Amino acid sequence: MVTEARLSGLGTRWGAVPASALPPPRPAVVAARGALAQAVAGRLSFQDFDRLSYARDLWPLALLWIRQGKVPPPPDAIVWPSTEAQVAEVVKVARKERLALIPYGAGSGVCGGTWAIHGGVTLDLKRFDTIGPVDEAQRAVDVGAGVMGETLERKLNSRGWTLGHFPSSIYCSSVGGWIAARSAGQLSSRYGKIEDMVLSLRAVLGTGELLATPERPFSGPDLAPLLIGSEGTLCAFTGARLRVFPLPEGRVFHGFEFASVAAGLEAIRLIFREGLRPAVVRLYDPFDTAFVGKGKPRGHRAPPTAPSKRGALARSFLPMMLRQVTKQTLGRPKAINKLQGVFSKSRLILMFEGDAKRAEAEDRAATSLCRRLGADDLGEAPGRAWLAKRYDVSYRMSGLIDAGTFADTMEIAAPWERVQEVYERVHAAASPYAFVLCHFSHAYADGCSLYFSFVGSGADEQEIEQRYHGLWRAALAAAVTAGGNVSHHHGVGILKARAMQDALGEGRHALAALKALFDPDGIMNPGKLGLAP
Amino acid sequence: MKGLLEALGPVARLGTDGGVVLEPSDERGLTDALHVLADQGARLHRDATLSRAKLTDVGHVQTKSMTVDVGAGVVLQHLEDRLRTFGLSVGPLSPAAMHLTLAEYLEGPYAGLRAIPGGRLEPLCTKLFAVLPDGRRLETSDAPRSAAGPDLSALVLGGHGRLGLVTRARVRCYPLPEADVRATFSLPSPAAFVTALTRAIADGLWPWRVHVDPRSGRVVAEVRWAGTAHGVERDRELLARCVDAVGGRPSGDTEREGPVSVEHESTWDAVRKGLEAGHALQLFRLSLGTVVARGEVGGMPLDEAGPWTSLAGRLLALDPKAVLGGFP
Repeated sequence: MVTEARLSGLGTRWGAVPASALPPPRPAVVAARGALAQAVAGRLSFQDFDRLSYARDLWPLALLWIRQGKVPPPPDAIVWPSTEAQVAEVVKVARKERLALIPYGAGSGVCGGTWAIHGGVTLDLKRFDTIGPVDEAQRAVDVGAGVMGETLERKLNSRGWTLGHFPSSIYCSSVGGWIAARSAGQLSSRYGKIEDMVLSLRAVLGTGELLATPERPFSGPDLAPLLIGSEGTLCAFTGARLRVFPLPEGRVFHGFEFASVAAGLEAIRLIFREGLRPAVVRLYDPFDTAFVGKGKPRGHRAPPTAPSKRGALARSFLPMMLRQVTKQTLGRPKAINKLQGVFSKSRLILMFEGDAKRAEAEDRAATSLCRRLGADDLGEAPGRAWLAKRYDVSYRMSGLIDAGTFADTMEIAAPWERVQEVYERVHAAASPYAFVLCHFSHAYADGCSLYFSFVGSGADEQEIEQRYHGLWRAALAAAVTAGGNVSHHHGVGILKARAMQDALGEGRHALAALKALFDPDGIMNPGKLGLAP
Repeated sequence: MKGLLEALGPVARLGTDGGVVLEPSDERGLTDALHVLADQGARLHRDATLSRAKLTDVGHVQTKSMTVDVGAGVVLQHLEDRLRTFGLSVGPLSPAAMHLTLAEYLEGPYAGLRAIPGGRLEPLCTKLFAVLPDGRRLETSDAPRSAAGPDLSALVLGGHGRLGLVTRARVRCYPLPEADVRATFSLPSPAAFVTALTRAIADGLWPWRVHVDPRSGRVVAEVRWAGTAHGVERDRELLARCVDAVGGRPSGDTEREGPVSVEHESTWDAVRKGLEAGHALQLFRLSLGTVVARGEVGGMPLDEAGPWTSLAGRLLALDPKAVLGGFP
């Protein structure tokens, strides 16, 4: 028995989580140990260390809790099946014993989608890690649900192909997780979201049945959209056939600065109306523009040198100072947000790729359009700088948490008529709670996504958590009232469950009926998407 | 029959064949009618048919997002005519599709799908208003994309009206093209044709129609596309490069009438095989996955509802009283 479990990666910062914070496994799950072990050929664990590791995803609320020594609800056990038959057998045991089953990819979700709020068994699908050969004629590849994003992309690249899916979590997210939460990558404006890449799916339903959706053409309704985005509440994904693309022959970057957010948004709208298809479209609001800097690509990093006094200062004293300053400053977010009036410039980054001459031609057309709208041409540097650091932002969050703050992001989408209003209303609603930044990306002919970043603090942990919850209530309500949706690509989990159910209106009964059909015993990830356990 | 007609009230009438026809003028009327059918133990398709001829409103055109709310009974060609006055178009659909009502296009074998630049398929509509078998309303989000749970519009799209009945939808439109061009190429083989065209589509070519004809061991393809004045020239250059890369060359052949037959949804593999068998084809709604094809080609006929897979059939449990007719 582990008497004191440390959180991997966080324990050294915030100390240990006492064993008493972890409830013992539920008797019903302990009683099913033999059947579960048989189902997965012995690959299971009831160890506290494993239960603690699987107790959370990357929902920032968990980080706040852990800082306080609280633990999100852990599963009672974890199983690691490697075949669909094993998954089906686990489902059979869970149905018989009425155990909750939580399908688990890589744990990179940010909405609490894998929290074991009713205990039960976490079904880790990472052993579904096969990557088939690229079917060049069909431009497709068969992939196991447990394959990690970066692994898949590297493998495809080595064969001259790309999936075109680059979420900022690519190093710590899996194919199954992408499908479960309807993920989007940074190049989605060209390659689409994950649902656009799925040609067919393999999954085990909550009934224990294996399901393989057909590829077009077929007659009748398409089951795949009813399962994609279900976040483990209807099925566990085991694999998918995905659309792939040849590696781009050419790539062109371009940065512009507009006089206002409105002017930048108009440029994006007209770019898509013109039929241009940039792979990357990112418009930063004035504060975010000020923060992204002047677009210098990351330079060569000097090799590490021997420890110095200056280095020690940088490692200990400065972070401590930063913690104090950050906490004090972010405790008064409204005042900081008011400073945004000082800034007005809004920066746009475009990247075109594919056929080299085509990419250049589309860039020329976009440049002409942006100049007509009065934008300053910043050349290619901002785009290259973004590319060099494009995954960094996700890994800065723990540093902010370390500084005694909270940090989170909210991604929503709206039609073009409402984007500006959604931006302004969410900004105003969130301002009393946190420092607010926003960028606009994942653009379409009919609208785009708004990606808000929030950083806040408070006098103590209790106030910080209150502000965190207050922020989300206010921001989501403002988004929906102004005509935005609940989520563009992070999913729902626990965080947005109520908002999603409200947005569905009477349609929530159809979702509940689907749940009853595919998961009649309610064992699959109970309590998520606002579905009753 | 008479009892059902009376119970349905003014929302129903007798059809020319003597059967009961539901003809609601709004969503509420349809909801009430479904409740009556359920109470009477009656079913659509068996005891009554549904007409959406009165659901023909076309709403205000949203010029920024290029969307418009359209009643389910509006014929797509009529919508196209109406949109032209706003400088918009429904975009490139197949000829047979343009004769369908919005409801027929969304619920029927076309499943409401169209190809978009880049070769993906996406629904014609961004938002659906539908009535479910229990009379409840389904109204999906009008945001361009969502990650808020499963996409419930899949209950309606391609569902043959057995899982939900669309009453209205927000249709995505495109700018009316400034230019409409065509170019003819000679390619060394059907496989080369497929390679060249799919590559061009992946890189942004958005063909409105392709007429392809196998002749003397080669394939002659006439590609038609449209867009802005500059855009069509970019497309012309891209297409020329893709054709050149597989050993093709421009051809001086003039336009010919393509084969006219039932439209099929076909894979590119089926297209290649059709060409290898010597059949001339017309292709529409060209995506990287499938196309709508005319001519002798394998695939799924789009003129009538085909059988469902057994898994899709499981969804009929969502209509336990089979008010919407049960298994097609």
